[in-house]
Amino acid sequence: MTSIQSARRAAKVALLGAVAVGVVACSTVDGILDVENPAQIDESQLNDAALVQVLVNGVIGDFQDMYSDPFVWRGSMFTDEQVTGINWEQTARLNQRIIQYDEGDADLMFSAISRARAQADTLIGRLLGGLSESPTDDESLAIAYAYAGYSYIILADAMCEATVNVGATIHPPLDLYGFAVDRFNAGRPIATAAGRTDLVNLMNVGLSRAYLNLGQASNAMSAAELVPEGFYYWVEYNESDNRTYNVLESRINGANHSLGVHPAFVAGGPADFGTQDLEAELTDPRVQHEPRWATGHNALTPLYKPKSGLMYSNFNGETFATGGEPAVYERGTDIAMSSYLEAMHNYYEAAGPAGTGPLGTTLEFVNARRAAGNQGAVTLSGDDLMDELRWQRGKDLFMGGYRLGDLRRWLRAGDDLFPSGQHVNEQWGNYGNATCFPLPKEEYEGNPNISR
Amino acid sequence: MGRLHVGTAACRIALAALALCTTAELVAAQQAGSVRGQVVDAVTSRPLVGAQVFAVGTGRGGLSNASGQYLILNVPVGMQTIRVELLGYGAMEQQVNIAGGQVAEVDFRLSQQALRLDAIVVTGTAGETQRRSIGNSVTSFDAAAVTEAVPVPSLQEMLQGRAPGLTLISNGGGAGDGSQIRLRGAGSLEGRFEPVVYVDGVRIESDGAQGGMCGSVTHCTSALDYLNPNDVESVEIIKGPAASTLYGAEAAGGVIQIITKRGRPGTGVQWSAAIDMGRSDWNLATPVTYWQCTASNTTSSSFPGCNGVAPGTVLTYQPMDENANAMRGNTGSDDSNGPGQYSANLSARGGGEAFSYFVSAERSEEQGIFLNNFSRRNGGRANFSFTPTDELDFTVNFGYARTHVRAPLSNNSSNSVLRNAYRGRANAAYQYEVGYRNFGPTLANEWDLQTRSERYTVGATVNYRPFSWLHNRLVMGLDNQNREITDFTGIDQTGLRPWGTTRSAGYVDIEIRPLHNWTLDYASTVSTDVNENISSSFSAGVQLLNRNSERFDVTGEGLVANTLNLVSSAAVNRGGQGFSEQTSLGFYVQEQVGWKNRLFATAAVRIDDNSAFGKDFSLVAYPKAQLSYVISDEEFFDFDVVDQLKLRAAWGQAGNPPDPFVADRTYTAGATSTGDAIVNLLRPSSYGNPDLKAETGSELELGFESSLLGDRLGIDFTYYNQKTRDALIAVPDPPSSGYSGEHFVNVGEVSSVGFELLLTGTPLYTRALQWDAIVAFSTNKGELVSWGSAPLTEIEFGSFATVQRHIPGYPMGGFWSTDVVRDASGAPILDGGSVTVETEKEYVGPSNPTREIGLTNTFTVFDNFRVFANLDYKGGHYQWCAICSVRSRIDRNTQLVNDPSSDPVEVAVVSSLQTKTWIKPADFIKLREVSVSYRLPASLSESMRVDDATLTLAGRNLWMWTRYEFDQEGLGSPDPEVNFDSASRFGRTDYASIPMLRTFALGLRFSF
Repeated sequence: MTSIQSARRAAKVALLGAVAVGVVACSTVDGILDVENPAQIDESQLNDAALVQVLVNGVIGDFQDMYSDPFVWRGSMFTDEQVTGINWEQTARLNQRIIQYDEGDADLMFSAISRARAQADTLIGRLLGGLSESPTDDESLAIAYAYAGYSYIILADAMCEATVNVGATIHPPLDLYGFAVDRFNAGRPIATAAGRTDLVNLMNVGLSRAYLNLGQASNAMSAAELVPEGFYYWVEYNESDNRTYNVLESRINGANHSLGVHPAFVAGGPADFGTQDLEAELTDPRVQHEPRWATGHNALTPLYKPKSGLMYSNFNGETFATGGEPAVYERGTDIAMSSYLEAMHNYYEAAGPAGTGPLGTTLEFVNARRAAGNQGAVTLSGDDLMDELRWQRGKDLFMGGYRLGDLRRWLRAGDDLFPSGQHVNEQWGNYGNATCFPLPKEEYEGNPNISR
Repeated sequence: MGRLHVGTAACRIALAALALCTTAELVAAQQAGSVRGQVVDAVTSRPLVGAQVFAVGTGRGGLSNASGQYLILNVPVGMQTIRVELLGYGAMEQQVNIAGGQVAEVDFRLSQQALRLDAIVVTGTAGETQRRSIGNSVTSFDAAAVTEAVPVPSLQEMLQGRAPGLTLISNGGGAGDGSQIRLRGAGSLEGRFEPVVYVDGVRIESDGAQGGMCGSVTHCTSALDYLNPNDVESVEIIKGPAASTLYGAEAAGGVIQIITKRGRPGTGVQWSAAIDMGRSDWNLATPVTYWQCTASNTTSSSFPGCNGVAPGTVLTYQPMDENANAMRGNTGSDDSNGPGQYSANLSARGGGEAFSYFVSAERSEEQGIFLNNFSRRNGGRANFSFTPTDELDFTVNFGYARTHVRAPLSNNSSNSVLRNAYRGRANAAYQYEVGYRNFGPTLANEWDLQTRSERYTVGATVNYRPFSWLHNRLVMGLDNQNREITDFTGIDQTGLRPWGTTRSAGYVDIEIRPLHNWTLDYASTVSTDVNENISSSFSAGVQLLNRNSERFDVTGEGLVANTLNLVSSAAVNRGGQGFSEQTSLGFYVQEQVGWKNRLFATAAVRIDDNSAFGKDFSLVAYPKAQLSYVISDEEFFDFDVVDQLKLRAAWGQAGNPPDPFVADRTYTAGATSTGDAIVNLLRPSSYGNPDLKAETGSELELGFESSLLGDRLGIDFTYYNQKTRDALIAVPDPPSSGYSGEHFVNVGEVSSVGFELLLTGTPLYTRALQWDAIVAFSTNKGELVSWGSAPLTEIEFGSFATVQRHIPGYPMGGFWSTDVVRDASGAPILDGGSVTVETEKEYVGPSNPTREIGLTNTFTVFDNFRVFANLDYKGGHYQWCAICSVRSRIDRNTQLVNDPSSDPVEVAVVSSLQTKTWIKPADFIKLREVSVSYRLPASLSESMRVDDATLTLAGRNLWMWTRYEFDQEGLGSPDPEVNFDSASRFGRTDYASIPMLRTFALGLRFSF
C-alpha cells in the first residue's frame, strides 16, 4: 500500500469518525432538537396547585363554549324552535331531524359536551387526588361538581347514548341523568360549606331537572322548592374578546344569517308563517322575532330573526305589537342555564295537573305564565292543563337550551311533540324521525373498548 | 428593517458587486492574443447561440452570438486548449497556438447528445457525480431553454408536463392560484407527500397553504412562485425514496433541486433583457342557467324575465357574459381590456479569471379574470462565485422577491361570483343582482383580501478540495419569508349589511406570518482509485434543518372611515399569535465502488432524528443500495443502433415525519368570561401519541437509459414500486376522553407502482427543418394497502356528497358513486315522481391521473424561425361535478330540469341524491404552450448593437380535448383541471371554479 493510499484510507476513517462524533455531539447537546411550544402545556404538568384556578376556568369555559354552539344552536335546530337557512345539505337534514352517526354534527355535539364533562370530572379527580387542601369545603371542587352534573344532563338531553372516559359501557340517557344526580349530591354539601349558595341553588335546579327526567317526581319537587325566587345562573359571554362570544349572535346577524324562528313559535302560529308583516301578532314578549322575514345563506328559507327571550340576559320585555324594540342577540348576551323559573316549571310538571306548590296550583302557575305572555287566563285541567304547561314552558325557556331535552322527556312519556310532516322548505320533503344525536363514528373508531 | 429597506439594500449590494466585477474585468486586461471562430451544429451547420467557449485554465472565455460567432480576448500566448460547451451537445476541445497580438481562428462543429452520461447531477454528496454512476432515475431539464422558447409566468407552470412522474394538481385559473406537486403519486395518507424543494442547496418552504383563508374561502398560492423562472438554469427531480435516501426523514415524497443561473468565468459581462406582454380570456364555455316560467312567475317581481311571457317559457341566462362586471373584458366592464399579464426581466452574467456573477431584476404582473384578482412579483437575484485557488471556491446566492396577490372569493365561498352565477335561476331577481343566487359581481368584487409576501433566500456554499481526492462542501442557508395578509371590508353604505353585522361597521384583519427555514449541510467525499480498474468514492455528511413559523393576527372592527383603516384606529381590536417549530438532524455515509468507470455499486445509510418524533422514539435509519452499469462501454456490446446503454437498479428508503408537536398530549390556554372579566383557562388540546415516528417509504427502481441512432434518439425508462410502511394514519381522538380531533398512529401501508418513459429525439435533422421532440410518459397506480391495526374500515369524504373513500385495496381518495334503484332492465324505478337512491356505493375510479403524457415539439425552420408546442395529457382519473348535482337537485336551474320535453325519469334521476351521473372521466389533452419565435439575423442584431434578439408570439391553453363533458350546455366546469378546495390533499370537486384561461403573449428577448 502506497503512502497516498494510506492517507486516503485514513481520511475515510477520519471523515467517518468526525461525522459520527459530530452527530453524537450535536445530538447530545442540550436543546439541539428541542423546540419551543409556547402554545401548549404537557398534561403531566397540570397537577400543580398554582394551576387550579385556570383549570376551574377551563371547566366553566368549555361549558360556555359548548352551550351556545353546538348545544343551543344545533339542538334547537332539531326541535320546533328554529328553521335553518344554512345552505349545507347536512345542516338542512339536521333541521329535518335526519342525522347519521358518521355525520359531523353528531361528532360536534358529543365532542363538545364530552369535553365540558371531562374537564369537570378530571378536575374533580385531580382535586380529590391530592390537589385540594380541603376537599370538604373547596369552592373549586363545588364548581367542578356543579358543571359536571349539568354536563351529564346536557349529554343526556342531546345524545341518544353516550360513553364516558373512553369506557366500555354505552350509557342510555337515564344513566346519564343518574350520574348528574350523583355529581349534584356530592357537590351540594361542599358548596354549602364553601358558602356558595349560588352553586347550591344551581345544583338544586339541576337535581330537579335530572329527577324529572328520571321520573322521580317527588325528588324533583323537593329539589325545585329549595330554589329561591329570582334565581338565575348564567352561561356567561363577553363581547370584548372573540373567544368568549355568544356565537348565536353571528348565526343570526352575521353575513348570510342562518337562523329563523320555527313556524311553531312564529307569532300567530303556522298559518302565518311566510307572512311579511306580523307586527300586530307579536304580543308575547317571551318569543319575539323580526316581523318580516328574509332569506339567508341558502337564499331559500324564510327566516324571522329571533329576539332575546326570557332566558337571555338582555331580555327587555318589549314587543313589536306595542311598538317596542325587543332586544337582539348580542355577542355578550348571557344565556340562563338554570333559573327559578325553570325550577318552578320542573316542580309543576312533576306535581301534575292537581299539584300545588310555591306559586299556587298548577293552573294558577300556568295562568301566571300566560299573563307574562299577555295571554288571558284559561280554565284547564288534566292533560289539557299539562299540555298548556308544556307550551308555556316552551315559551318561557325559548331558545335557552331546554327544548330538546323536554321533547325527549315528553316522548318517553308517550307524547311526540317533535316537528313532523312537511318542512317549510317544500323541496326538502318531510321531517325524519330522529330525536337525538347518535354516538358518533369518531367514538367508535377512537375508543378501543367499544364496537358498533 | 422593513421590507422596502431590505429590498433597497439588496439592490445596492447587487449593483455594487456588479460594478466591482466589471472593473476587475478591465483591470485584468493584458497584452495577449485572441481567439475567434464559429460554433455550428455538426449535422445542419446551423449557427449555435449561447455556447460557452473558453480557454481551459486561463479564466478567459466568451459566448457565441446569433451567428454562432465568438471572440475570446486576452488569451495568454502559447499552446492553449479551447473548449466549447452547450447544453444538449457534446463538449468539444481543440488545441491552438496563441501568438501575442494575433487572432487565432478556431471553429467548432458540435454534435447533439441524446444521453449525457458524463453530465454532472446533484446527489446530495460533495463533489461532482456523473450521471453514469447513479443507479436511480434523475430527471433534469434545461429551464433556461424553456424560458427562451416560451414565456413562462411561474415556476409551477415551468414544471407542468416536463418530467415524467411529476404531476401538477391544479386548482383553478385565477391569477396567483397555486397547484400541488406530486412525484409518483401520493405516497402517504396523512403525512406530507409533496416533494421537498432546494434552491442551490438551501431548503426552501414549498407549502403555499399558509393563511389568508386559503383553501376554504380563497385559493392558495404557490410557495414556489416567488422564484423568477428566468433566473433558473436547470431543475433536477429526484422522485422517490430509492433516490432521496440521503435527504432523510422528510424526503419520501421526493426532492426538487432548483439550480439558478451562475456566472461564466472569463466571459466578461453579457446583459440579457426580456419583455413579455399578453392578454387572457375565458375561451371555454361559461355557465348557462335556465328557468321555466310558471303561471305565478309571469306576474311576479321576483322573475322579471318571466313577466309578460307565456307560462312554460324557458328562460336562459349566461351570467358571466351578460353581467358587465362579472369578468374583466366584458362589454361595459370596469376593465374592458380583459385579463392580461406582462413581465420585464433584466440580467447580467459574466465573470473574470477567478470569479463569476449573475444578477437579475424582474417585475411581473397578472390580472385575473375577476376585477378583484391580480398577482404581482418584483424580485431580483445575485449569485456570486469566487475561486481564489484551485482548491477553494465560494458561492453566495441571494434571491429576493416581493409578491402581492389579491385573491377573489373562490368557489368554496357562498358569496363568490362564479358560485352565484352557476346557482342562480335565469333572469330571477334575487336580493342583489338578477340571475345571481346571492351576491352579484358588484358586491362580490368588493372582497379585498391581499397577500403581500417578502421573501429572500440566501445561501453560501464553500467547496474545499485540499487534495484531488478529497472534496469538502459546506452549505449554510436561510429561506426567510414574511407574509402579510390583509382582509378589509369598508363601512357598509347600503344598510343591507351584506358582509354581516361585524364587518358592516368597517373591518380590517392583518395576519403576519414570518417563516424561517435554516439549512446547515456539511458533506465530504474521499475519492480513490484503488487500481486502474476500481475506484472508490466514500462520502459522509451531516444536515441540520430548522423550520420555525409564527403567526400574528390583529383585527379591528368599527372604523371611523375607510381611509382610517389601521387596526389601532378601530373601535374594537384584538390579537392572536401562533408558533410552530421543527428541527431535524441527520447524517449519512455512502460508499460507491466503480469498476472501469462503467459499473458502479453504491450503498448508503442515513440516520435521522426529528423534534416531531414522540418521546418514546428516537432515531430512524434509512438504507439504500444502487447499481449502475454502462453496458455499452463493454467490448462485447456491439449493436449498431445503440450508441450508449446504461442499466440501473436502486432500492432505498426515505422518511416523512409527522407535523411538529403532534406526538405530545397537551393542554392549551384560552379565555372565558366570568362576570365582566375575561380570565385564562386551560383546555385539552392534543391527544398525542408518544410512540409516533416518521413513516418510511421504500422503493425499488429499475430502469435503463440509452441513446440510439447516432444520438438522435434517447430513451430513459424507469419502473418503480414504492411502499410506505408505518404510514401516518389519523385516528379520531375518542371524544369521550375530552379531547377532540385526531391523533396519528403509525400503522398503515400505502403503495405506488408505475413506470416512466422519457423519449428525446430528432426525427428531422436538416438545416431547412429540424424537429426535436420530447415525450414524457408515465403511469401511476396508487393504493391504500391496509389500515394496519388502526380501528378503521374506511374514511369517507367529499364536498356536497361523500363521493370519495380511503379504503384498503383501492386508490386513496378514489371515487365511489351511488345509483338509483333500477328494475331488472336497468331502468330507474319511479315512485310518485321520484326515485330511490341505493345505499350501497360502487367503485368508479381514481381521483388523480394514472397516466400522463407530455409531448414537447420544437421545429426549427432554417436558422431563424422556431415553432414550439407542448401538449399535455392526463387520464385515467375521474372528477366529481358537485355543481351539476347541486344545480339539478337544489337550484333546479339546469337545461334538463327546465326543458318541458325532458324525460321525467331522467329528471327524477338527476333530482335525486345519486352521484353516479356526476362522477365522470376527466381525461384531457391540452395544448399548453405554443410559441413562434423569430431570431433576428445576425446582421440586423449587430446593427442594433445586440448579440442576439428574438421575437416570440406565444399562447397558453389554446386548445383542449376532454372526456369531461356534459350533454347540457353550461352545466359544470368546462375544464376538468379545477378543484373546489385548493388545500385539500385528496378531495377533487368541480364546484364553480375558474377554468384555465387562454393566453396570448408577445415577447422580445435580446442580449448584448
